[in-house]
Amino acid sequence: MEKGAKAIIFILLFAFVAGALVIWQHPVFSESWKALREGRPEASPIWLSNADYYPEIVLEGAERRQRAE
Amino acid sequence: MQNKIIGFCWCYLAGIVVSMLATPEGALLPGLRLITALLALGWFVAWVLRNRQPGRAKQMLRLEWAALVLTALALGLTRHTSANTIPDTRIGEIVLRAGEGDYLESRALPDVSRILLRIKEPPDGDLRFRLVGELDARLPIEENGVATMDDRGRWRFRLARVPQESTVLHISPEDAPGSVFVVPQPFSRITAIELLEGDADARLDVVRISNHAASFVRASRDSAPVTILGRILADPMVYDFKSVLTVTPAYIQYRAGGPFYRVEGGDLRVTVPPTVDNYPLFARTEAYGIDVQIRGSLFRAGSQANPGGFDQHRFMANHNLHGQMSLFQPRGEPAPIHAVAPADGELRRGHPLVQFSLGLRDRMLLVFKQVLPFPHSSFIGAVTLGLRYGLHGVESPFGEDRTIADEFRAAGVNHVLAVSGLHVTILTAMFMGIFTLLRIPRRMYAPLVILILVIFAIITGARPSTLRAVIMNSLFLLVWAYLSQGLRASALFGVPVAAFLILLHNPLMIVDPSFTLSFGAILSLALLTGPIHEQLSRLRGNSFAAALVIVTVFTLIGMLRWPLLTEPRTAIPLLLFAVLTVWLTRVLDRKGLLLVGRFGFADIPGPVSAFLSAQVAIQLGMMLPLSAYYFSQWAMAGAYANLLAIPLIGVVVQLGVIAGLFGLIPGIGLLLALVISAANWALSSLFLWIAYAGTQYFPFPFMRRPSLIELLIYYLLIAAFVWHRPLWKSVRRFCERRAWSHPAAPRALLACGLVVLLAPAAIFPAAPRPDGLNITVLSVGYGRSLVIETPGGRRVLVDAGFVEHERGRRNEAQRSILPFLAFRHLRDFEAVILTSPHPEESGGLPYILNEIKVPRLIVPPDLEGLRLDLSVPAFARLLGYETMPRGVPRERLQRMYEDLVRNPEVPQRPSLARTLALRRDTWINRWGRQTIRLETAEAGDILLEEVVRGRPFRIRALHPGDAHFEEERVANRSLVLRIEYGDFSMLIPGDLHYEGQRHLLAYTEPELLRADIALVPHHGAALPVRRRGGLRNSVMTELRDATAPLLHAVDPAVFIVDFGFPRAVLGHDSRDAEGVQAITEQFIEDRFPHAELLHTGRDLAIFIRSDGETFTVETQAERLRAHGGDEDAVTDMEIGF
Repeated sequence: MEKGAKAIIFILLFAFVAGALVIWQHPVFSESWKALREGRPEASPIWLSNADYYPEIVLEGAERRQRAE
Repeated sequence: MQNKIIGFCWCYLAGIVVSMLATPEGALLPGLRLITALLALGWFVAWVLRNRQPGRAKQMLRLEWAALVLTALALGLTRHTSANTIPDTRIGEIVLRAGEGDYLESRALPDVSRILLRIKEPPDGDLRFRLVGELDARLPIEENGVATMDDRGRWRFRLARVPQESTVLHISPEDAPGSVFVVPQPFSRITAIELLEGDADARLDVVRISNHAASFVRASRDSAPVTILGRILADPMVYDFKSVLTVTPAYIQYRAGGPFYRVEGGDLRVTVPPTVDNYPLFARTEAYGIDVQIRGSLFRAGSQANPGGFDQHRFMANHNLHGQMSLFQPRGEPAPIHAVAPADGELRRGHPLVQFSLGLRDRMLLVFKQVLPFPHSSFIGAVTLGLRYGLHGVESPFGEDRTIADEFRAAGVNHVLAVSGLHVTILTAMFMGIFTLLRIPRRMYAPLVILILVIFAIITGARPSTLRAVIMNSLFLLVWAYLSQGLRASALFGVPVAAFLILLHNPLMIVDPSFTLSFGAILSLALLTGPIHEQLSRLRGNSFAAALVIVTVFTLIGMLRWPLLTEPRTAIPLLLFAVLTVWLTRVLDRKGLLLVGRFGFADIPGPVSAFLSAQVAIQLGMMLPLSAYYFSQWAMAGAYANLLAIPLIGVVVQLGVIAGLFGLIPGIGLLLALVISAANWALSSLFLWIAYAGTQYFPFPFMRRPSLIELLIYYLLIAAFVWHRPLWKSVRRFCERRAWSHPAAPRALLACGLVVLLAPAAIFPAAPRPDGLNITVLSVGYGRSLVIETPGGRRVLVDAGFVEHERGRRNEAQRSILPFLAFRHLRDFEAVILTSPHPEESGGLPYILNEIKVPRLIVPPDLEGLRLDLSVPAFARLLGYETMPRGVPRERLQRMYEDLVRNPEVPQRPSLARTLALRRDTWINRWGRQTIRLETAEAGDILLEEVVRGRPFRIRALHPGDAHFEEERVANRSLVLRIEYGDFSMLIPGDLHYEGQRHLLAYTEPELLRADIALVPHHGAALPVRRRGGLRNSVMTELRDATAPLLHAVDPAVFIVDFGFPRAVLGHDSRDAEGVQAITEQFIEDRFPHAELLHTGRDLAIFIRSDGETFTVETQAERLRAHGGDEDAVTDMEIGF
């Protein structure tokens, strides 16, 4: 099990480094990062690309915000 | 104890197999249950005696084992029989004697029941009588037209006790013992028999028909609607265009205004389209657990329309789904489905743990939608949350006119989408690692990991593969944490126990591919990996290099020209090359020339070599034999793609789960999830590319489907390989005992054993060649495909069905025709004949030509100049259009162009011209017998001729041919074929419209038109060119003027209409086509009352056999009924009130 634990740490380290690189380089991810940081997930290009994928799964906060606006 | 549990589980499986082979009737169930109980009691007594009498422990142990084995066998037999049959119950007897009738009740009716009478002793004269009794009619208490429930969630009914009388029943001396009569009226009590006429003696059994859901299902989806009161007891399957519910019915109203029956088992599949008013409520996880009232047609799923094809009805029955409803809400009408709350006002929900798990899944899905772009989100959703339906129809991101699911299947990595051992083991290892990091002792975290696995199983839909893996991993954790046993021991214990638990719940799963493939994979890994690793480790130096060369050469040839590996003319030289290569390595070894030094498989790092061995084990033990058996296809890419895909999916699933869980943390969680998912996006892209490359560069060929005997022999050979050491020892000991001292004796004995083992395959060939002429008219919806097996053993395919590339992607070639050919082991053809360029005949042609060997493609004269570089106007001119048509004809022309020449927007899509270009006359095609020659045929041509036992067989073209016939309509110039064998003949009039029919009649010798069997021209659905006085009048005019004279000239004994699902082919014209087909069918029935009319949509595939003198016609529907695959007469019974 020690091996398994080490593998998880390694995978997570890899994921954080590779993920940071992707977010830095890929415009869709960098814009989504900004949108999430600003608390507007409904504006992120990733969320928009998923509009037709399980459309019944929605952002409740965003709906409330839109209703308020 | 462990051995006894393992033995019990395996014997239980054997009992199920015995039940499958013996198929005992449902009536035997009470006896079987009694025997099982007695055997279990015997087992208990033997166990007690063994403990009480230590002196006779050995004998008692034997007795206990015998009782255990018999109990397990009987239990398996009983459970499978009980799941496989819906027994009716005998409740009494009717005695009719000397002008009086008595009812002798042996059991009271438990509820509103349907009755059938079975003649025990037939009367010696006519008798008319009726049943008299009462009916406790159950009618729901409604509010606004919707049934209501009390505060404990029970449906509320008003009971009305009414006197009940059956219609008059008539029995006569002609009715044999065992004849069955269904009583049209339901009863709650039978009190008397009223004899109305006759004084003969007779006895009849009174049988109650089970109120199982299956007995209420009708054959046609257009049947009268029923009302269901039930509960949604599974997570809805939500597609982008429908939601599919699994409903457990509690009550059913079979006929409007009739009583409600209490349903005694069986679930229903209900499809809700988005057009239904309250669709959103039923297209989300919250639908799980709620009570519903549903109104709609309840019909049975489609059976196996063609031999070798998919049997939707059987597949659903294996999952306890016995009928389906497709809901539809006409404009202005109330919704067909309503959620019903108990009287306290709150909708009921499902089990709290399930509710929690599904809620967790939705929250993780919400995270994925925010951190992973589409379609990667759908891929991660499928592999981590089991949401395979979200992948439905999703195009591959590398764009090649394929969906991701298609690519996964063709690349052999489809298994990652079925949440199974791989995923569960990854999760188990991941959480064990996390708990180890947190320094929690294994005895403490083992139950926690098991709980996580249970939640994971619920989230992913608790499919058999997932359940198997969760049970096995849980057992492993328990054995490892509390008994400190190793992985192999826990695997050998876990496999049978997991199989037993799954099959105890549903014994029908034993034949389900998800069950078999899952257990095949784990058994291959556990048993085959070691011996394969041992054999591969012997490859060293030159032999290792030779193995690499052989594998590489065979792989490259397979990738470039797969048929070269299956054609003996090319496969034998390739095998010789392999033998020569091995021989050369021996020579080099002897001379001391080592090309790669002493490096061998054993020098590859341990985990990598073990992984490679495991891959070979899975391919040999599971993928190759079971893919061929279940799907008639094998993904060559799988052997290579999985080398990368399996390690990759391990990381992808772990990152997916971690990201999903991180995303649930308020605040920073989503940002962390985004970082992890960004890395996962890169890995997922690599995975999707592997699937794309595997599909693009490797073949996914159809294979002959092995028979069960062949499969058994294959696995016996595999078993001999796995246990080759003990086997070899036993053989040598056997020879020594008999004093066979010759050193070759053990090998000779093994060779004899091998011959004995292989003999059944030769004695019982999987697809024996039928005698005489055999013609199969396949059921391919709106389209045509016939397989002709000539008396001389040659084969001809006529037409290839339709392929729908857009939504639905219905490919009749891959769905119906190729599985039939694989099932019947038909690969070598003498010719393929295309009667018409229309898509419903030609669409599947390129797909079929890629899979079979055929030297001649015979087409109508219009297609003589078919080339890949034709433009659309040039193609139009080829088909006889002087100017480009407009409207619907233009659309049809464009579609024909795409099927026959190329699709400019999707250039890589298969087309006939592209296939012909690939199969042109080159040396390699000649060597591999892959060349296809394009020929045209016209009236008077003999396309195939042979003489068998003095009787000539011919396929003759009757049309087109007259130079003066300049009909612009392509259909009117389609090929018309006449098949002749001795005195038998069959006419295939192709796609002829009315004008073509007149022409055929006018210019063909009458004796050539006469036929015993005739297909109805143009699928019986030719739309009239001019419509005067409405569609019906126009069609009737054309039928009277053109079709009737032709058909009278043919005067067949059997008409065949090849028709079904025209919407995909004809679009807006499909309703008209359905109308015309119905009119034509009625017209033929009226004009030819003595002829039989068969329909490929209704009667499914049609099998014609002739010995040159007589002929027989059988249908797939009849075969299914004969094998119990269809429902009995009750299905179509109208229950009165």
